[in-house]
Amino acid sequence: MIKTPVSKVLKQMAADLSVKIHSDIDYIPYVLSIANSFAKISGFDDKSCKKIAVSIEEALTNIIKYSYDNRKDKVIIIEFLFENGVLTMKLKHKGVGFNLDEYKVKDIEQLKKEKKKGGFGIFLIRKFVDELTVGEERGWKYYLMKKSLKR
Amino acid sequence: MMDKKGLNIHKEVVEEVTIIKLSGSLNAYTAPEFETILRDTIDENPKIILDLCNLDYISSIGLGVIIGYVEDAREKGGDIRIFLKNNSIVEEIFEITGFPKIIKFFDDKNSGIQSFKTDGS
Repeated sequence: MIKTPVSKVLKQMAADLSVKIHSDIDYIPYVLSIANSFAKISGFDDKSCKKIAVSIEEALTNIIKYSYDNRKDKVIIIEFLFENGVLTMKLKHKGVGFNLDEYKVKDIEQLKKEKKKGGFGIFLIRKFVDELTVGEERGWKYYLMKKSLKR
Repeated sequence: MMDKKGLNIHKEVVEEVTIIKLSGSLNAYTAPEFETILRDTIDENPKIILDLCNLDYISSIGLGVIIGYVEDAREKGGDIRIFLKNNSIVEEIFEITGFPKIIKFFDDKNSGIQSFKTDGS
C-alpha cells in the first residue's frame, strides 16, 4: 500500500486546532512551535512558516501589551483552520480592541532619532499574510489572518 | 548550543570591534536578554557588528531593540552594523522595514570590521 504524505491529505481536507493560553509572553515559543508544525504539515514551505510565525507573534504581542496592558492572567485563544488551501488563524481575547484604521506605519528615521522600540507589528503582519482583519463576536475581540498556500 | 529560550548569543572581539552573533529567534520572548547584552556591550565598546546570518527570524520587538540603541552607540563614538547573508527571511524583514536607510549592512564580516577603520567610527 502506498502511503500518502500527511501534507497531501491535508490539502484535500480540512484540519483545525485550538490552543488556549494565558496572556504571558512565556507561552509565545510554545504557540509558535504549534503554529510552525501546523503550517508545515499543511504544506507551507520554510519561509512561509517563518512568515506565519512572525504574524502570530506580532498579533499575540499586541494582545498582551495593548489589549491586556501586560497582565499575565488573561485568556487568549488561538484557532488554526486549514481548508481549501487556505490557513486561517484567529486570535481571540477579551481585552481592549485594536483599530486597524488608526494604525500608521512609523518612519524608521524618526524612530531611531527618538530611540523608540516599536511600530512595525501590524506592518509585518500585513506584509506576511494575505488578509488581516480585526473584529468582535460573542464577547470576544479577535485578529483574523489568512494565508493561502498559493502565495 | 541553543539556550532554553531559543536564542543563542555569542560575543567576540575582533580588531577592536565586538561581534555579537545571534542564532535562533529574536522575538518578544528572547529580546530582553539580547537588549541587556547589547546595552552592556555599547558601554564597553560601542563598535558593534551583529552577525545575523543564522537568525531564524526577527520580529518587531527585536527590530525595536536595534533601532533603540543605534543612536546610543553613535553618541559614544561607535555604531551598530549588520553582517547578513544567505538569510532571505531576515533580509526581507530588514528591507521592507527600511533598515538600510539607517544602518550599514555587509555580506562579508571582514568588510564590516574594516569599515570601522576606514570611516573613523
